[in-house]
Amino acid sequence: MSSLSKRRKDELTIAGELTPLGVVLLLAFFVPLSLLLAYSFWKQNGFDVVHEFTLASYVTALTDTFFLRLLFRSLVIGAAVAFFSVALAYPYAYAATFRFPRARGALLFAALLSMFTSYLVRVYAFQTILGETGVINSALKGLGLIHKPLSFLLFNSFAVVITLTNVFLPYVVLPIWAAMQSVERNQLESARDLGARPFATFWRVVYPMTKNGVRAGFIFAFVLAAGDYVTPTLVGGPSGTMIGRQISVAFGLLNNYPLGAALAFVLLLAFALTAWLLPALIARIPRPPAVRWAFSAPLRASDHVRLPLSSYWAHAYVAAVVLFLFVPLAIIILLSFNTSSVPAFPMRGLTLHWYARVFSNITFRDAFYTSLKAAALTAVIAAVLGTLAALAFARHKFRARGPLMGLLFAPLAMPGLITGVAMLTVYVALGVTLSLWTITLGHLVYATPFVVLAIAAGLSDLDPGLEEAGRDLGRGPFGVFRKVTLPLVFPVIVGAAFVAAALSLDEFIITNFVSGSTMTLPLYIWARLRIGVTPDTNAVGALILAGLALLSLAAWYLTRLTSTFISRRGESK
Amino acid sequence: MSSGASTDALTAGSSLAGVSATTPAQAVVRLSRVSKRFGKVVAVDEVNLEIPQGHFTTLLGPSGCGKTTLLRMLAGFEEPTTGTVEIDGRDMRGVPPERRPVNMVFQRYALFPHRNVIENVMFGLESARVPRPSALARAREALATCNIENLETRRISELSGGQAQRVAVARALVNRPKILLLDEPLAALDVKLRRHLRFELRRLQQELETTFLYVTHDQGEALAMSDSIVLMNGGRVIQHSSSRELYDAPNCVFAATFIGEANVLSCTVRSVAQDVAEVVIDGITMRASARGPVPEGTQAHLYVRPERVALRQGGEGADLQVTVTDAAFEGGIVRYWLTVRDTQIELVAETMVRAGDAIFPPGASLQASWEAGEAHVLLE
Ligand SMILES: Nc1ncnc2c1ncn2[C@@H]1O[C@H](COP(=O)(O)OP(=O)(O)O)[C@@H](O)[C@H]1O
Ligand SMILES: [Mg+2]
Repeated sequence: MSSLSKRRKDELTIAGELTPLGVVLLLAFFVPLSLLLAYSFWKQNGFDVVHEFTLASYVTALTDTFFLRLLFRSLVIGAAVAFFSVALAYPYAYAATFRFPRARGALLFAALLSMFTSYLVRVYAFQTILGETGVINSALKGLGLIHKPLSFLLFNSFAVVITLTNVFLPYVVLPIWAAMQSVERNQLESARDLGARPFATFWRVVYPMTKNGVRAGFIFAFVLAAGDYVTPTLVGGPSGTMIGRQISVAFGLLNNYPLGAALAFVLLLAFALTAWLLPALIARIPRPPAVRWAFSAPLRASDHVRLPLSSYWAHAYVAAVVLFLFVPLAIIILLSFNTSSVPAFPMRGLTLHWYARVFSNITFRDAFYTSLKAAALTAVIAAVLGTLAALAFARHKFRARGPLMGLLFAPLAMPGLITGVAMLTVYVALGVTLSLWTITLGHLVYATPFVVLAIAAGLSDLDPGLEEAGRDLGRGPFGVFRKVTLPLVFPVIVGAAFVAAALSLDEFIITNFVSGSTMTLPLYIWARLRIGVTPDTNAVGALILAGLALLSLAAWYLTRLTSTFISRRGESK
Repeated sequence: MSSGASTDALTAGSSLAGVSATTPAQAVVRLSRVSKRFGKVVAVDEVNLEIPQGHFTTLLGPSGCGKTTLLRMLAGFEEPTTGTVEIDGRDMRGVPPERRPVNMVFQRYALFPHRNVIENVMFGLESARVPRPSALARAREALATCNIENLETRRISELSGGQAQRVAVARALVNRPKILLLDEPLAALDVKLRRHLRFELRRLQQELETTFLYVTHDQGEALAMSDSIVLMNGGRVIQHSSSRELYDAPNCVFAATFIGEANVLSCTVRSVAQDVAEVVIDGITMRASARGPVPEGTQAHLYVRPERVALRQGGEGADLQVTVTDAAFEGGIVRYWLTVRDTQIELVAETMVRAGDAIFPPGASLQASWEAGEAHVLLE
């Protein structure tokens, strides 16, 4: 008989399950952030850093009008992106949930897929679409509508906002979507039954229940967009540049880490302030007078459970959002088969020439293998760490559960730029050589929270009675895990590992800082883009997209399969 | 009560049978002052309980009264906040579920979807490292005992509710537990199947002479199956007795009204002599049996079952003069709602009817009476 109490044993189990991931996050995320904070207070002396306390970098960051203007522009662009994303995402989630219940799964998958299909390829697709010799201009010229290319499309804030909205829209769809699922159809019906007209039903029932999803989505998009540096570099031009670009320049070209660190923390502070002020701002939105009118207007007998957004418009709207998400990618894929090297439609002819050329390139092949290795390593390690942590979160209630989950998901809400430069400072301070391993660590920090989420969801689908039955039938905790839990959630774990592989394959922002001379596929594209768009870059982009789509499909299939398998057991007739 | 008729002929040869109960009254489970608190909620409150070996014992009570919690403390999924749980004479403190000599049939069966029927049944034997050939033989025998030998290689998703229930029972019994715990195992099934399986479980228990501890909130189920019933409410044991005794001699108003129907009337005790009390209800004096000391002048309750109330038309005597306020024909019986004349007292009576019998119409004047032993005085 054991001398440990059950409670003590539980505590040990939880500690054992959380420690591995905790150590990784501590070393690869929290320590680097702390060091970054230290850097922001250190003194820059020429190209060297002196470990002496000074506020000089903050003074520069907060008084130089150049930086202040950039900061302000970044926040405005972030807010604009968040606003447009919410405006697009909300009706999408709404229509998918209440209008097209049968297509709901597919529409959710569309959002997820676009979340996992290449950040960098999307950004560069917009460069291809909006550029002077790009798709839109050549189309307009071909139609004879213009003679000189429209130059205002690219290299300005407008291009940045469109591109970032395209990139972060799915990040906003998901939290709104999740909130929307808690609204039940019969709640809408009872609202109508109690005399609320469609719009009032929406405003008084649906909106309050989804407000938190909107807030989460808004903050997500705002933070990620305002902290971006790739988009302004590729499509922003001088008038669309943002603070993120200056931070990356400080850590690159300028080699002024204290200034970069100070700019990063000023940006984080601005985010914190915004997130804090946001609820109050939202509460100030006046309610449209339509609500009052809707309540006083008599209810017609023919008004069945109808929601605002008629079917015709709903179809058109959902289709438009899906097109917005996928057409840029489709353009890249199509152009990768185009015989002409000019990115324009109609295409001259079909060829595999660009693919052949890419594969004959040794730099590309190296990048390809590095990407595969990093993806495989990330997938396996994230699956192991993530499974352990998910067990702790899904199976135990403990006091530190909420705060620990918050810490786990902190890397998701942190702009990759800041994570990346923070990791870089540690490697520089310790003299670590940048390699496949530093890349993998960067990917782990970013991918593991997703893995934990997916596996924890799979575990909570599982009837806890199954594990208890295993104990009852004579297996200890580990035996139950091996014989019951693992076989049942294994497909989910594999699916989550595929997600991690997809995230790794596509990761650019962090990788760019921690890769040194090692090159991955997104870095290869980046390098090509800096010397101008070449047609074989389209082939590389298309390859990445294909890999990501395959991984996402596999992950989706595996997790769905498992949840139906497990839930079929639940309905005993 | 001991476990009904002898079933030796049926059990002969079945190796599933537990250690045969030579002294049936011996307790296999003993709870002493067991409490379980979840934060502020007291789920189980100072329970003392002994469960005799080889019996079919039922935990009965309204939903939320702590039945599942009690069962889970026996299985080892919860530790008591205070008190001790002994199984087979051993203190179970700190003993994890996998090392307790009990097995459980879970509320929704918890069959493993990644294993087929026989693999489910063999799970416990594999854990106990029983060699495969004998494990297989024992598992097949368990399937046969539960009448599902034809399902051996079925997948769990292909089972009906009743079949799944039997697999769950076989999977637990095959380990020869000292006590089998069943948490509302029939709750998910339709009424007809429930009645059938009720009978089957009872037969199985008598064949195997295994101790069953069965949880239900359905009083009909409890009465039909059990050797003894542990009636619970609010985390406490209210009464532990045979089905018959629980029905005929409930020890409080809760027990009287939870099991079957009862007329419960507030009364004042006037005098008690030789276990018979004279009580006054709304000015009318009546007699009822009283167990234990009942001080004179106490406010108490008189209770009598509706089917024990006899109705007569005409005649004299000390009987109650009642008026029919409503009558309902319910097949084999007629139910009457009655008011005692010149009072506010209301009664319900049930009488058997045969073809051609007249039914008293509302407004009819009748005399109601009961045998002296059919009415009881309850103090709480
Ligand atoms: N794990 C738990 N945490 C908190 N409260 C619980 C837990 N399990 C049971 N309870 C509470 O204890 C009481 C008894 O529950 P339970 O034993 O499930 O009742 P029954 O099985 O008789 O319906 C209920 O009030 C229930 O809400
Ligand atoms: Mg229960």
